[in-house]
Amino acid sequence: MNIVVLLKQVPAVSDIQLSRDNDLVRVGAPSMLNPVDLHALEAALTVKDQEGGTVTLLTMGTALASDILREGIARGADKGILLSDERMAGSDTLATGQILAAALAKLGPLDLVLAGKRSTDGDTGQIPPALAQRLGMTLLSYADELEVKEGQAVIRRMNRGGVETLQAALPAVISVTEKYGNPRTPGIRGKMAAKKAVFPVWRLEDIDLAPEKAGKAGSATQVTELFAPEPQPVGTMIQGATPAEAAANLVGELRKKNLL
Amino acid sequence: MEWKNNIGVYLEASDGRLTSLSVELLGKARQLAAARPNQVLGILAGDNLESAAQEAIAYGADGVALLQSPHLAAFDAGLYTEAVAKALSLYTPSVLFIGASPNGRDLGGRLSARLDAGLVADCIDVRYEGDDDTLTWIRPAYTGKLFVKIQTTTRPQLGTVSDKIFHGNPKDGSRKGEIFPVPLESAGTAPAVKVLDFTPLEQLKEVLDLDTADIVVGAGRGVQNEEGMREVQSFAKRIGAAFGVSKPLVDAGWAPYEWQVGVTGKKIAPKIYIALGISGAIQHKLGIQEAGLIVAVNKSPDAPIFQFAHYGIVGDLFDVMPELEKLLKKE
Repeated sequence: MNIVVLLKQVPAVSDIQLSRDNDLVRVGAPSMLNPVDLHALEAALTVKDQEGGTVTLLTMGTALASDILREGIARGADKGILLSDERMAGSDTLATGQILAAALAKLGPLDLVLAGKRSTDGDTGQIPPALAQRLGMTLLSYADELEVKEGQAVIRRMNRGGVETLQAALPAVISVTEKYGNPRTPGIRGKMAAKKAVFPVWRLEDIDLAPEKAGKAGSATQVTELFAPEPQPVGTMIQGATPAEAAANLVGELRKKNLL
Repeated sequence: MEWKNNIGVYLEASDGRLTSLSVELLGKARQLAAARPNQVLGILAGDNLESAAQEAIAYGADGVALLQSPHLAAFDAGLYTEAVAKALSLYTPSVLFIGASPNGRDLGGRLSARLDAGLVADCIDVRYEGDDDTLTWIRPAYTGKLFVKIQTTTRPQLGTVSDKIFHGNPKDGSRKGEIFPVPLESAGTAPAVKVLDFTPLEQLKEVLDLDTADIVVGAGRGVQNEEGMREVQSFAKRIGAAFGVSKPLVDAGWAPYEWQVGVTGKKIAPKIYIALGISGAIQHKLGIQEAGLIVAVNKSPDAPIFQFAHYGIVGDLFDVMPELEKLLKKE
């Protein structure tokens, strides 16, 4: 089994603040591994335990993102690759999909690509389907449970107001939720391996991707404004001659403000 | 009729009927089509969907591109992407709204890659800000601490939209529209994903979780006794809300600890919290301060809860509650 797990380094959310001119300030900016990615890693390691194979970690980011690769090695992954190139900066989901797909093609042929269902910063959940499309792989998304056996993957997930059980042949891109498994903790051997691990750094040339497909040049979305939500004012008293009138005034006000 | 630069809506159907999210998207598309005289095109993929297509017209579509094949009977992201891409190439909408359901998100991500087109995910609003057809999409970022405005530079402009954001129009059976069956070359391809099983969740389980419910009703000392508390609890159920209580009701032995909302109980973050007969002690306040909107009903105009509730009504909860129920009751 050739298994790849996508990891992402994200800012610790509680530290996000806005400057007076609405710029993002990352105060003291501690970064962390996107939490649900640990569950994707756990899924990969479980499949490897049962079916054998190698688990390769792939991330895109600055040199600091090697921290999360190290974290993954400590938990049991075999190796890691860092996509890092200033021409990748500012990539939206379209460009990120191009970059990751090119890197995965380089690592292929693959049996399984695992990813967390979404990241806490970009929070779009669009990368797994984009990769499935670009790599011509089957997509199984939002898996709460996963079993891989004899070249078939079976997942359970919430959809359409119920629980779906889906089956597809490998190779597949599978995104998992935080309901999947209990991420294992690093063991002594893992910690040693993490200490010694060296990660290849891949630039655009290494994945044969044209610069105009990456970064801002390869992106098709523009953020035109970043703003803090207007706080809902407190203390509005709803009047009414009768309880019925007060209730109607309240519901009317909520509907008018699109709150209900 | 020329179909070009229209407003496209990807429609989802369940058991042959449009989903409520699809109806909401049609409502928004209709509104945008009125601002910039334009037509609304529904795109519907699946099997046996003639009546759903008629329904889409009744809810606001001017035309429906109908993509039908027995192989599309169950959602398959790859096959649906090819089918929808075909409809987009024929009818060239300027924008495509996609509901941010799990299937809609998968379709959106694949379409974006298939067409090399930008996509904005999980939008909570969309509007024209300039003179051309460029839409400004608004979406939360950093778990709702911030919002961003985003525009896409490619066509069609792709965006997924969360549910319960927009309002659907009432069904109008007298509306006229065209249905365009789209021939599919990929119709002979078997789906890659097989649905082995589907188990619907009971309605009950879905609404009663304090941690995840959109609306929570909280009961406080104003209920007076255990029977009063039960009345508030069944009100919560009938309006589709989860139910919690303030600490004194647990202390009195009327409610289990699991129901307690407050700093020593559960801290909750529903979209709307309806506090009935709760005075608003600091212990309770700290448990609900993450709620998007707090509505309070209390007999005493001096109750501290009116200091931090967004909306307040001074009155007996047993007078106000039945009136609210008439307005909020679920079918």
